[in-house]
Amino acid sequence: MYVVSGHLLEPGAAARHPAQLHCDQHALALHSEVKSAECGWRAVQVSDDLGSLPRTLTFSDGWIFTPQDVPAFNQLLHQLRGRSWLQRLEGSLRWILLAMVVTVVSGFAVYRYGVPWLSQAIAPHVPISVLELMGKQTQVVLDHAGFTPTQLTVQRQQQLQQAFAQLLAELQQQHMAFRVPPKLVFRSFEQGPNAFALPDGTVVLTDQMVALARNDRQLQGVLLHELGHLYHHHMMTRLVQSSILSVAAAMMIGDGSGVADTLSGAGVFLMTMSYSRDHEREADAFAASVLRTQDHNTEALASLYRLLLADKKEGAVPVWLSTHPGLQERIEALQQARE
Amino acid sequence: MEPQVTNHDATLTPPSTHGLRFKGTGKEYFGIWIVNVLLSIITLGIYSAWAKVRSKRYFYGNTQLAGDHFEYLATPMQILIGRIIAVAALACWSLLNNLQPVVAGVVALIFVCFIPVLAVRNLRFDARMSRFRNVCFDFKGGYVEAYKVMFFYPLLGYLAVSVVVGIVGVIFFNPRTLILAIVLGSIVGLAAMVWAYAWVTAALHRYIMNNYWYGNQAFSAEIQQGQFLRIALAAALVFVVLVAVLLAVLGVTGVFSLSSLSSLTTGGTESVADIYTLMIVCYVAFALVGVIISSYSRARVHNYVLSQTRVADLALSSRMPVWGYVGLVLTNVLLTVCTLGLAYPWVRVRSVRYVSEALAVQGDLSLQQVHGSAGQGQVAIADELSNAFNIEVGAF
Repeated sequence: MYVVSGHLLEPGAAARHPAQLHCDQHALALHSEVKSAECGWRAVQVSDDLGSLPRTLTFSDGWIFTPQDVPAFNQLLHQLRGRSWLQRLEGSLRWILLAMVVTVVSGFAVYRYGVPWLSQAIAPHVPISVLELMGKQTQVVLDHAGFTPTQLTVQRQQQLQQAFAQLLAELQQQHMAFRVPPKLVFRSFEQGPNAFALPDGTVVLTDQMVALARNDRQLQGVLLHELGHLYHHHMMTRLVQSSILSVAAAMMIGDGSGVADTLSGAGVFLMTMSYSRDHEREADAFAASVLRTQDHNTEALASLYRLLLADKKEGAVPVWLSTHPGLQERIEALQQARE
Repeated sequence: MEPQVTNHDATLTPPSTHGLRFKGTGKEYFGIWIVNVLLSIITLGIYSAWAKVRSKRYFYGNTQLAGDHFEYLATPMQILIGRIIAVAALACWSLLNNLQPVVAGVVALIFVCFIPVLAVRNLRFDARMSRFRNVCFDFKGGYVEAYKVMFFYPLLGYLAVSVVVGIVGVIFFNPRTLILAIVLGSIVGLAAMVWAYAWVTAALHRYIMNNYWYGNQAFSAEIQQGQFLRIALAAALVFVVLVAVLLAVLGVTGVFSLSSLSSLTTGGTESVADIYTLMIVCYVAFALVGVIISSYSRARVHNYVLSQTRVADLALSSRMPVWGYVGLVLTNVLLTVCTLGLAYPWVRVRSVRYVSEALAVQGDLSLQQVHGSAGQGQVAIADELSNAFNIEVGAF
């Protein structure tokens, strides 16, 4: 039989009443001027085993017993009632180190494989009406961002449309299907050569890109890259990815301060950028595989990237802050794909 | 264990000063935190509700006053339900923002109109889930008053500032006195902003502190606007000095980097990268100035508001060293960044210890007259929603 001194608190009253607790492995007895009780351990609620936090006993009628000598009582409870596995986990250095390693590894695995995999699984099932809505939305934004109607002649446009249709026909022969039939549109964009794909299947090619290319095969290489984005549902995947990451970060930080929020926001941004670079590589690989079956090399796209490299002042933005991998790296990747 | 002679009276003799004690350690909390993170990842976030309760209980339970500790009563299930709803809302909003920015804007506007309601419910939930000596806290602030101090007053403040600046502009708008108009406009504008800030924050703190309850005992705090004006002016002064120093330093280094700027015209890629470095340095410097200003005024407001507070014959007082607190926040930022967030548990523990150990309670702590509720269940929807969307009000 162990004796513990402490005080009792009546439910809903802040005054303290001196009390003594007598207990052993099976039962406990409480003695005080205001209340006495005898019961088994099952009838009391022992507060959480959490670090060296003072533990208290709550009786079924709401009275709380608080010990005076906290460390001694905590030790007694461990002796009589055992330790919770959580407390063991949280308290042992070995488990903490293991938890750290597992956390870092699984965190990295979730970021590297989990989120991309989940997003790629969700993206193809987004209703087509949503894709169309997003496409329309983006076009409106583009028109405000300096994109103007094309200056290409009707004849030139028809040529390129034909080249595009030819590509699509060849892809179909290779049984590569698109959820939404891709279509090609032209825009002029003062700030330089560009091309991109919208979620609704629209591929935008700028007049400046057409002007930069030495031949139509190079342009077909660019179009194949954009079709790669469409084939892999990249725009939708990216949207899902950034949503998952933002929600996950908000949950992790939870009750964080402003600084933690800002840092996690920056982290999410950097991760999204790295996902975007992965998508660019994937689209390049798509274009490369098609070019290889047709031309037996990837020169069409690689040579265009060389033109772009000469045209652009690269290095303005560090790669880790960019949506695209460095052009030099992409050219090298394409040339390796030739083998 | 031997029977011990208890000496409760030592802690109960009136009237005396009792300091709050924080017994948590960074080492201990690190173990709890890392296990929380691990289990949250493994369970795809579901454990995060249990994790939140565990870490809240750790911080509440380690905060001790005269031999008793605070308790956090919310259960993981309450948190989980609220959290699921909040995550769903956040995901919907994030999707809507990408799909239909216009609709999302309208939804955001409607949401903003509900912020006072959420804030009140959040304050109430947090208070009701806090317990000391088997008696719960409560927050009984009304919605009408909440809309007044969180919505109407700030709006009025903005309006007043723009009207004042506008009047100065109209009076002095003249091509000959243009510079005078700009200088006068910014001085008057800054003064109006300081005044409006003091007015709005004083009203907010008055509302919050006078609506807390401990059992059947109401909190009361006499909050003077003049004190907030003094704090705001001091913060403005600190800001001006810091920015002047910063501009001087950047100006000196800027002269050196001018040579590399001129090589930009030749198209060197390295100088372009230099500009990015300069931009990042500027951004970080100004972010740090922001951190200093906000922590400086937060510490002073905290000290003032709590020292004005009384509850159940007890007088509170907070004597936190203001620049010590600023140093604490700055080192916290440094620690968090340098360890990629791994130092978070230490950062939390040392912050909570610094703030709570500066707090003392004066008076008779036998609290014979305090009665109230010992706790009740409630779902944490507003609590989690306001966490998810970053709505934070509160004096502690």
